[in-house]
Amino acid sequence: MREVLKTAASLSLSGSLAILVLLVLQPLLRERVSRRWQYYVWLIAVFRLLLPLSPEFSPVGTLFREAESPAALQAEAPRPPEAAAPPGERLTASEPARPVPPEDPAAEEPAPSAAEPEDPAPPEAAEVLALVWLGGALVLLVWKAASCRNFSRCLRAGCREVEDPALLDLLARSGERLGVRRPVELYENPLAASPMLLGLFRPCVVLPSAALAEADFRHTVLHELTHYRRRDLLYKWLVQLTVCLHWFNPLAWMMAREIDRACELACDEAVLRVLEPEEHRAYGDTLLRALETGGGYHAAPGSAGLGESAELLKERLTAIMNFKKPSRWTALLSLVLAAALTTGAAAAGAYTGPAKRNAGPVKGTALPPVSVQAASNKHLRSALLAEECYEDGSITGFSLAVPFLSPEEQGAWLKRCYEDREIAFFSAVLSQAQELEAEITDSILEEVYKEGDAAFFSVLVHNLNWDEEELDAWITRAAKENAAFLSILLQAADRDEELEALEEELAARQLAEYETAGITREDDGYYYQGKPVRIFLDLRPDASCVTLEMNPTGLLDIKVERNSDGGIQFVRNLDAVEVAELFGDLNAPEEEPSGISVTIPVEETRMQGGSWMDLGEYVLSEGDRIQYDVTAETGECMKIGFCGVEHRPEDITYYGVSRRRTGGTLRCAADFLFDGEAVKPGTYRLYLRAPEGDLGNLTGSVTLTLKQGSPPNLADNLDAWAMEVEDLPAAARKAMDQCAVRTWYVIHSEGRQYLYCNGFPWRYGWYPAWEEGSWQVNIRKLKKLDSGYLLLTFPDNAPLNVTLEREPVRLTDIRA
Amino acid sequence: MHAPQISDSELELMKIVWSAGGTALYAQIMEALAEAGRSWQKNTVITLLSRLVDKGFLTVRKLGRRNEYAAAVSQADYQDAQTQALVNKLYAGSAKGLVAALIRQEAISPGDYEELKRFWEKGGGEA
Repeated sequence: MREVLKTAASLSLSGSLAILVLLVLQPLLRERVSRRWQYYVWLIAVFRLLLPLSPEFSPVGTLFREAESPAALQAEAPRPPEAAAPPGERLTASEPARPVPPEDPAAEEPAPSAAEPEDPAPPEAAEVLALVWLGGALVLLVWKAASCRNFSRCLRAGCREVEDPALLDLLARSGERLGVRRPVELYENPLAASPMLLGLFRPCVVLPSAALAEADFRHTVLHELTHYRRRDLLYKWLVQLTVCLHWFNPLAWMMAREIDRACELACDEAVLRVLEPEEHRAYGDTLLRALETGGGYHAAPGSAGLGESAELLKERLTAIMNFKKPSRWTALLSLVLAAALTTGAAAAGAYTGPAKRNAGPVKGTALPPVSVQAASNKHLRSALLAEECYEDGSITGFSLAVPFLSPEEQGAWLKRCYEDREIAFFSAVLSQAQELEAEITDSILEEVYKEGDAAFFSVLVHNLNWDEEELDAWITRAAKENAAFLSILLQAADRDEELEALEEELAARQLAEYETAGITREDDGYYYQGKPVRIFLDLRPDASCVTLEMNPTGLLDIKVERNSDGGIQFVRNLDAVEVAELFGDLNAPEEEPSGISVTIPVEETRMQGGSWMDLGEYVLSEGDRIQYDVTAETGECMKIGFCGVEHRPEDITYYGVSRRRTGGTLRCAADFLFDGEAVKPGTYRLYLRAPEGDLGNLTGSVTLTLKQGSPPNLADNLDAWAMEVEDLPAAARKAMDQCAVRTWYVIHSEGRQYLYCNGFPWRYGWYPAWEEGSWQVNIRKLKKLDSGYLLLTFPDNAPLNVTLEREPVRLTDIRA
Repeated sequence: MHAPQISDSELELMKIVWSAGGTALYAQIMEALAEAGRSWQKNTVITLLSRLVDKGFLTVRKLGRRNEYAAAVSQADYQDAQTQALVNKLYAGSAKGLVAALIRQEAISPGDYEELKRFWEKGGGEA
């Protein structure tokens, strides 16, 4: 009995040390490591309080043993802690082991009486004490279990199943998103004070009311499901068990409170990680609203709730606002800290019975050998870190690791980065390494120089510590051989005047070179064969020099092609694709608002010879682009074009393309610009014709980019339809996961937009129209259904305005 | 029989099981739902099915890794019980009151009424 009591007291003592260390560390780490880490790190204290494992020589274990030995019986109080310290120091990797009982408030009650057997307690007293302790723990445990059972019974009694399949679907999707496979029950109970999760084995989420705004509902179930996925209830029960066993220790109670707090913060963090950044604020709103609603039943020990005290809520809201994804560096810090703390907690030890001096290696040596070794081996860790960061492409982490590597390793990295052409990492090695060996840098410099790689040469020159003689030698050498390198070297040597002169010389040399190829330079730009150049591109193969100039008034787009020695091979025109590659990003945002693109799909299994297919009427104006690309599998001849609305295509056609089958294919492809001169701006009808014989399996499309916006012919060519979720393309389907029920979304994906509302239990009619450059859709409810959704698709060429029974509907845009 | 209430969506599942002859595999139920144009999530359906099992309307049997659901209540029994429950609730057990109310609301045509009357007089509805 006495032994049991001593073990318990020693566990409480070393557990208290762990708790104290964590409490002290907490304010330091709060913003530095992840909330999840701050939550799980408490497990160290929990296990320290529960598991009587100890290394042979540990401060706490020795303390208790010393106290027991006859020597200690005679000696007075001050001795034991000092005597215990030296062996403890050998094993502990952190300070927590050192504090001794006098400063420790934890050991107040039974611990002293157990730890001070100098006051020769009769065996009966120890037995009584042990019984009080065990009795207290038992009573507490029974009381907690009963009140929890009572609570969940009361709560379940008032529960109503949530019946709306749309909400259940949302719950299931949220679960999927978090990786919760099992179905989770959903109840509502107006008595519940806040949303909560019940049940370890048959999980269920209880909401005060399911009549929540969609976003609130989604955030709430995400939060509760996160509790479920992390088995937070199990953790909480473990903590409750610990508290029951250490009921006499106020620090254990304090720990339980801290864990509850950390649990909610960690859960919030996990939810924020799956939410889009713009949703973070809304998540905080949900927490606030959860506080307003709800009945009188507060979460019991065996449940996990959404919101409790105002103080905690304030902390959580702050954390939400400051949320950022943890960096690799934080993760490393967390790992090292956790290793140190575990080691410390294990080394603090516990009393596991009388000393076993002859028993050889002691069982229960809880020191994790790997972490101790790793902690002492900074160099090995850095090597691993460098390797890992290099693989992951993380320059920051890589730069941190470099200074800890040996010069040989740094040299090897330099070579490797050059071989892999990783210029950013190459530069990181150079700037972080303090003592690179000259032989290595010289050999790499020589190699880079020979290969003529200006980018790497420039990084090397600017990062090496030159003495003047060396630099001069290089300048002399480069002056003869390589003008580009010379300018880099001159810049590094701060020889500005020479640099300027060199640059002038280079510019003059380049102009002379251009002239031989027929390019001249005037004040307003380049001219090629006498014509002004709009885009001028000269890209040297070694990337040492890029000349890109634009002159909006120019006429030609040209590129200077060079051979591998750098000499001009020939000058050629840039084609449209290259121009788009160069300037695509610049032009796109400017053009988008001023024009719309209409794609008219062509899909026809058979067209009779001599017939024509009407593809709708369009208003064409100056600057509009017309692109045809239609293929027919069978048939000999096909024609596409426009005709006036009052004409027939037999009479007169504009921008017509007529093609015969050549080389086995029959394809009409063309790209026109409507110039508004030969053909007057106005309304034209687009048609496709089978002039000779039948055509079979026509596929392709006609794309019109209309500057002024023009009504697609809706009656003949409605490029919008109602569809099923199953038929959605994958990207749009995926975007749908973030949709709440009974909210209207427009999902933009791959050139189409999808109007989507889940939880729209109506058979409906929809009436699209084209008005003033936007799609207008009115939706009418026809017949009530049990459940259902609305999903319509339109080309993504214009804004979508939706009315429901003529009332405007608020739409949320999502880009897939 | 005091029947626990079934929600509309649960009833839909029951109807699928009934129309499949009283037993249906989970996969068959999903198929039938898809045919009916329901795109419920897998876990939604599992939740609804397990509620029906809890309420005693379905029984579940494991066939290897597959679940086979069997109706514990026939469709006719269910409908009788529902009608009875409605009569009990609204018209204190009097079917006559129900019929009168339905006629007033024109939910029953005079022809239906005649038929019901014959049925009634034959002693069909002692309740």
